[in-house]
Amino acid sequence: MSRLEIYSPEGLRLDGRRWNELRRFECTTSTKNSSNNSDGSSYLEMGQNKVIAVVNGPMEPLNKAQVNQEKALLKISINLTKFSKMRRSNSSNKNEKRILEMQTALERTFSETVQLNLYPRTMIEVKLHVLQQDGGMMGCLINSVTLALIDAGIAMYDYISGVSVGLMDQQPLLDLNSLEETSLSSITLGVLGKTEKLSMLLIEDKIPLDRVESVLSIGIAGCHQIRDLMDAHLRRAGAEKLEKLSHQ
Amino acid sequence: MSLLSVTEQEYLRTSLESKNNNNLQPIRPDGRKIDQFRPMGISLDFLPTSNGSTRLVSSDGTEIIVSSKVECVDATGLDLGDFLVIDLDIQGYRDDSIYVNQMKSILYKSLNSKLMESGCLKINAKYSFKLCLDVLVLSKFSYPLSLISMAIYTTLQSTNVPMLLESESEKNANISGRSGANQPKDIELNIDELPQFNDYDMKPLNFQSPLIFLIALIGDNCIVDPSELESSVADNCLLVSFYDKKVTAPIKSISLNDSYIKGFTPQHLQKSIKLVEKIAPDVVAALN
Repeated sequence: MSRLEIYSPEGLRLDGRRWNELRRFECTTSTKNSSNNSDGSSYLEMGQNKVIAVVNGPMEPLNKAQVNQEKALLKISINLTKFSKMRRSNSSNKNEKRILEMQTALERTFSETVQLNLYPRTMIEVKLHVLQQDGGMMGCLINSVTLALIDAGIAMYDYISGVSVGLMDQQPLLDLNSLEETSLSSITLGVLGKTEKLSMLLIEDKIPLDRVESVLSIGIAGCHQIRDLMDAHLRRAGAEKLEKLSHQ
Repeated sequence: MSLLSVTEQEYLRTSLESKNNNNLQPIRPDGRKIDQFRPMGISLDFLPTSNGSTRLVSSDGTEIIVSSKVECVDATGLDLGDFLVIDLDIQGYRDDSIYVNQMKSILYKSLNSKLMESGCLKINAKYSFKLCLDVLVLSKFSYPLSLISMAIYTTLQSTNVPMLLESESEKNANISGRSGANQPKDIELNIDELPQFNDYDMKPLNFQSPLIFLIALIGDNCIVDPSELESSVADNCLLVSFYDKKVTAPIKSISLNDSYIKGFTPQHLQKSIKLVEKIAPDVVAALN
């Protein structure tokens, strides 16, 4: 057992949050200043997670063999930098099995929501750079991909927002940080917009079946909150962009 | 790589080659003077888990992130080359490509000897810090080495290392003060103990890393910080390092394109070094 008091009897967690509170969520889009760089980008800070996402495309596929006549090819790559953790990792994280798995999970999630059929014979490439990791990384990656894709103007049916939820005894805890993540069993879910449809569900630990429902419901509520935060930011950024254009 | 027609290339070359008579400067496509850099923005210390970090964004869209981490290592049996690790990741290039490795080795060579000379990584007789620099180039349009060296400079300027506990540093001072007496018992004690660090107090690393300037040679002219277009018509390019208020080794030539490659004369070298001596103090002042 861990010596840390993950959830105090007064209902406070290690970082002072309640069970249903999210971490600090800050995002910016169009982080690159010149347009020749990329078609869309985002920088997301969720707690201590820091992720840069860069979208290129729709563009001509690099490899002719990859051309799909019906729809676009969505490629997501994750670059987990060596300095992203407290201790620097000596090995390159590329081609690690865990990373490859995360890439495929993200690709599958987003190829359902992005309207790929509108961009036949093209490729959409998303590059994710994790500068710092602090628990719930998968949820953070989902959010940053969504923001970058919308910034690039790529048609999607709705937002996908992701968050992790852990289970402490009987109590579900929303949006785990790295300390909580190492000591609790947790799930990550991706929710489509304001609906209750799950576009991704990642359970890597054991969760008692009779508790799954309460865990999922708080997760969905958390995802809706994140969706509202992203929406508010994107609308503000869009209004600013429009104002700038109208002044020119 | 820029796609220019033969006519466009000739036009660019003629305007950049133009002689410096009647106080006319060579005309650069973006209207800069020969000793002028492109504007850039730098933000510092945005990664709490690193000892120092920099994000550098240049106006042409080059974006570089540098993080420095220090760890405490047992220095016995380590070579002088083991205290610095530089990792360079340029998007779109393989880690083992010549392009990346050449840049990595230039950075390492220019940095390592100066870092060892300054002795700022030493903790005590047995232990030392090891510095790990990770450079991530998110996007680049011209040869990014000069910008990387600037990003490393500001990173190391903002790097903080843990401080020894007061009792520890006193003990070390005593030992080094009594080094004439050289009591073997004391030294053994010192060797056995791991250094104890203060939990919260940090002190700056205090190391000014060398800067590398990129000078493109076109005709008789030397221009600083060539852009993508200028690189594509340059005869040759000189890398000039600047450290501790003077130009130092390594000075190296590289070719920036495949179509115009010419040698350079001693006059070029002299001119470039003069140019760097003139502009470098301003660059250092701006980075501080």
